[in-house]
Amino acid sequence: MEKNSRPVKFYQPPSALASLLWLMVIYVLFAWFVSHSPLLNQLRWDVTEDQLFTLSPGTRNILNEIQAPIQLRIFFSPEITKRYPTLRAYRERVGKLLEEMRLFSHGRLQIHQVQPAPFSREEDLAFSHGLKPMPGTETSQPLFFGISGTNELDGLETLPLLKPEQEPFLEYQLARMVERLLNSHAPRQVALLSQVPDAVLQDRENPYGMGIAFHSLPSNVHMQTLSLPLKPLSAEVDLVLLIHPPSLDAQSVAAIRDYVAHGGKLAVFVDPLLVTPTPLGVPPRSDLSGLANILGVDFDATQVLVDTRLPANGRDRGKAKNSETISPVLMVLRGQAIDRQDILTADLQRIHLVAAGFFDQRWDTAQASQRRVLWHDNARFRPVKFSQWRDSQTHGEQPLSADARQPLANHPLAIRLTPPVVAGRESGARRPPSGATAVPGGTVLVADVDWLLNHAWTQRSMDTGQVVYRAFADNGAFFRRLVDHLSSDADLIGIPSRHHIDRPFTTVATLREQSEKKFRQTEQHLIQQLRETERELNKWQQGKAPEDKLIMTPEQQRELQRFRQVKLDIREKLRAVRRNFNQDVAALGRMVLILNLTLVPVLLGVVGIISWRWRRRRLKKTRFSS
Amino acid sequence: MSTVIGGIVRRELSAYFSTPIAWVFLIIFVFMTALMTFTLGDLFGRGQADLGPFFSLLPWLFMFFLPAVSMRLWAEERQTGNIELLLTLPVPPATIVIGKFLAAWAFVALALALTFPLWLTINYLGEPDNGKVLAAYLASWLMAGAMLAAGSLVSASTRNQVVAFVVTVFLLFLLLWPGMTAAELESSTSGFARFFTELASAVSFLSHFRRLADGIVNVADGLYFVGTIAIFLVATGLMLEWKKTHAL
Repeated sequence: MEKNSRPVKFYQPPSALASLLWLMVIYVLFAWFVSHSPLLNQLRWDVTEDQLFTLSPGTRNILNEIQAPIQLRIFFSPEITKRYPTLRAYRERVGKLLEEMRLFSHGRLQIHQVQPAPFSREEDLAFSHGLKPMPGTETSQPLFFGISGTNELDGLETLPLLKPEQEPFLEYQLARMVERLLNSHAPRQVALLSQVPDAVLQDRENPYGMGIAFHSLPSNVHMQTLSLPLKPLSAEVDLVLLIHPPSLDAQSVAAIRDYVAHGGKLAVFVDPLLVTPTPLGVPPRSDLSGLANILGVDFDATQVLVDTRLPANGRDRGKAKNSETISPVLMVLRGQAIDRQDILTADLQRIHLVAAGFFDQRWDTAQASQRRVLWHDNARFRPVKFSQWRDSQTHGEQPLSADARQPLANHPLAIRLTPPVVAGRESGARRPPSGATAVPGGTVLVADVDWLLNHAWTQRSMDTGQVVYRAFADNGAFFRRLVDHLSSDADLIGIPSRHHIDRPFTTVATLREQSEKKFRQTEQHLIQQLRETERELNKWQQGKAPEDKLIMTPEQQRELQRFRQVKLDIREKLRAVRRNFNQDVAALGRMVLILNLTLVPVLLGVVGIISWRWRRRRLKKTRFSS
Repeated sequence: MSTVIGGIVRRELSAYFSTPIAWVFLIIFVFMTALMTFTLGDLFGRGQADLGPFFSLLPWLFMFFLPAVSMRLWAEERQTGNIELLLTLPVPPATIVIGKFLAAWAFVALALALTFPLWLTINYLGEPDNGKVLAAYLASWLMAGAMLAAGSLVSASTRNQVVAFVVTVFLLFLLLWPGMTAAELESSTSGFARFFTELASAVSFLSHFRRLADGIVNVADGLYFVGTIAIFLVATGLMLEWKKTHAL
């Protein structure tokens, strides 16, 4: 028994091959673990210059609030967009930002990709979620690029069309969508303090009413009216709106200061000359002096911006056209006068202000927490003293005297700021209340009130028996966005706009610009030559005697031939100039290609040969000496 | 141990440059990357000051170039009969495995560094995001390490360099390809299909490389490449051990 017994092996080490197979299993598990570990995936450094993938604290706070899953669907037509590389690159950018948001939401933000092919169920879903096909594409099939979000309460939010030019606001747009899905039914409390009577604010019929702007506000905005003296403002108030406010007493100023210092948001519209009729005893000039210390902004209510070239009572624009009066106090802001980096005004095309004032130039434009939203860049408008303005008005149609004109500066007409009383800047004797946390950029000031007037931005007309108001300026959109933006979550307001991801070749752009200039000059010169030749030809033909007009001597024929040849030569030169327009850029491209293809390979070849010969010589020496 | 590894690395690197092969390899690599970046990637025509075309083509260029470096790591030693001598040296086999790998990795780092004219070019033409470019170079270097480690395992399993090259190319293709489609499919699938695409994405070099190359230096992706290198090098050691035990 003992003889036949063998030692029993309780453990046999695995063979190397078995270990190898186990190792491959470990590799797969390891790869899965590192890819899905929330801890490891949050330890990251965004090394891009503009911190492209770093979510702002506001977005992170909003994502942290998500309790129940939120579904985001990206609708994108990959097949149709093959011809649109910019759109595809932007799709990639959107996907990366959404991935960042998903990571920080601890998976509660669920991202789905939907490819809506024509006549498919996905296409129906896109339409039912309110997505719009992209306009201006060359395809016959609808091209979708938008996002819809749904929550567990069947709430639906949609970004119907994502445009690459809106990239700076992409994070804001996505965060706002999530925030709305989180608080889809929450009402917004807006507290209003104004000297303008409520009847005027709600009046949609009268041109001097402001009702159209107020009625365009979202339905969840609940307006409550405040009266002086102000009591401490509740934290439930999402926005305090001061429209042509009365002079504030110390208690009211303190109430606003404390409200702003504790995260309250404020919008103030002041005016040096209120155009809309006011009740007896209400001055047409706003007084910001009570709030100046809190806001750190001065407003000189005696100065109005006026088009000094026009007579004080305006004039009719070309009587033949229509009798529209151009008022010297109507200021049209567009293009460069509107901040394209602020979500409030980024896509506004035209804003009309009426008898606007401006904020003091001491206002510090270098402060990151303060930015101009609207400013005037129209050289015709000058600040004038209100009294002089009134005098000139009484003197009939005389333009304002040159003395009344003051030096032009890019006066800020609307600004967005973080009140300095809590931002650490000096503000007189006042000290910030303890635990103060102002919302960055949570206060907006506009140096005009009349921009809300119905006739400043809409035109009333009848359409099939119905009264319709057609907007010819974006005042309503600005007001709506301002109230919606400032009354929303403080986290949302703090989300900054981002840089564009694209970085074009600046050298090529400069070169193109130079070529363009050169091309235009040469083209102009040649066109001039051509015209002169044609003129000479005509002159020569007209100069002939009537009896010779139909008969040509050989000399005349030669002359005509010469003119024609000159004309052909010039045309050929013109064509050559057009053909060679891009030659500088093409030459740069060739040079860059050749350098990249040859520089290092040639250097390596030379170094390689030298090294090889040196090694051979050393080898020979070693052999010889041994 | 570090001095021993240093010695092996120096010996290996010196061996690389003792023949014209290393020089030819570097010349062809630099030439091909530039050519592909300008022609297939249209670096100049697209007008963007970034190295996107270069870094999107690089994994596929690596798929063919790196097996040429890794194939000789062990197969050549086995072919020339030096392997018995190597493995009987009074140093642990792990040291030799690491030393040989580090030498190959340093050589590839040199090849990558020699693509610097592309970086100079975009800096001349525009204002690129150099942080992103650096992150992408780091990602490329880490991915090259993982690819070389995988190639080292294949090289240790055969004595024929051509076989090692072909098998490594195939293996690298398998490790790259899922990352191409997984990201697209991940969000549009559900259930088992979603699990499978997520797994494919997790295992693929490409998905980790792309995240790093975007400019996000992520601990998870860095750890993935370092872990992959370690696992493949341990596997190389085990393969050598298995070959030695079975006298193959």
